[in-house]
Amino acid sequence: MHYSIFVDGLWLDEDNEEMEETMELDYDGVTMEIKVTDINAGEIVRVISSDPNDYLNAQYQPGTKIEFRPSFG
Amino acid sequence: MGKIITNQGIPQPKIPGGIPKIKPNSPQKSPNKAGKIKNQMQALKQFGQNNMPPKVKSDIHTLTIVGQIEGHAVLSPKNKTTKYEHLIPQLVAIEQAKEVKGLLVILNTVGGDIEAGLAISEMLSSMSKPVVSLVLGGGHSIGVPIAAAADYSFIAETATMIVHPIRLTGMVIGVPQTYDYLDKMQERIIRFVASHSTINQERFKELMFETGELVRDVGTVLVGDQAVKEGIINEVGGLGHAMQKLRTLIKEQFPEEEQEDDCECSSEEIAEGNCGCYSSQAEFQPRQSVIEALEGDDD
Repeated sequence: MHYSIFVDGLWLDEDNEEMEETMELDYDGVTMEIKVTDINAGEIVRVISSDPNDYLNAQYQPGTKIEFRPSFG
Repeated sequence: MGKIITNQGIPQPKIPGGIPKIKPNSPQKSPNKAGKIKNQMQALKQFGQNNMPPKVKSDIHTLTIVGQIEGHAVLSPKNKTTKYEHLIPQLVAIEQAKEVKGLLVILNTVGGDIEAGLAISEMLSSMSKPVVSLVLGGGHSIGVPIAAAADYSFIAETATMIVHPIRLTGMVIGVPQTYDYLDKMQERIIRFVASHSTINQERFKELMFETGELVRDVGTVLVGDQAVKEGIINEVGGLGHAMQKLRTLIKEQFPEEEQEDDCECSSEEIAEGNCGCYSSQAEFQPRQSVIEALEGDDD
């Protein structure tokens, strides 16, 4: 049940036009939302943290490209 | 989960301390200090920075509640949402972390799920640490109890809060009980706001059912100081005011502990590791290695 000023039904809109796929990733204790750009690459969309200093970390800036590497164990 | 490599080409192994010593296209051969400095200088040239800023300890944590507050149903990806599964563990962590002394909640929300909103409100109001909220832009609907849940609340001069009745959407079973249910849900919000701010239940209900204020809806728009006059919010202010108030509340609650407002350590103290302002996180290590290398050269 919602209590919101948004027009009813807007969030139930089903016509999903090509939304980019994002995933959440935990890295060094910081959760971030990653846009998957390739099978082994992604881009940081946003940092989800309550520590204001995580937002100052140059490595976690939105738009930073990251690479996924397969590993065992 | 695989390892992550940033676009800066810095491999980031999980083990702390293993930071960028290899520059692209030329594997490090010389383990001597001169080579180390050279590599660091190379990094400085390539990336335009020596390293990321050292991790500074912060005793104030921030929660930003933006867009729709997402509850039990996942909203369409077109919506900008704040998810309660992110907020609730963060709140628990903040409550437990010894180094966190206070919490600042920044609101710019259009409302959202009632249960999720009330859950966040209840958690904020029951936290043992000082909580200050700041409404920027808008703190509408379910954002109202969240703002009121803090120990002290601020609203920006231009920010608005819309108070309106709850509506039912989708298929509704047309029985009188449906109305009772709606009324009960509404009562929860009214009661929460009234008990966490100076507005009384009757006045809040009046604002909710006001006609002639909103074009397509019943309710009231409260701009900046109007929310303060109605007693929902404590004061009109911005980020500076909110931070100052939070510091005051922290000082009141933890009077014996010295507050770390700013790091006043000299660069020598930082270099020698005698400064307590910076944590010895992995991020700090490369910088320390440069210092060590430079010091070693002076011998």
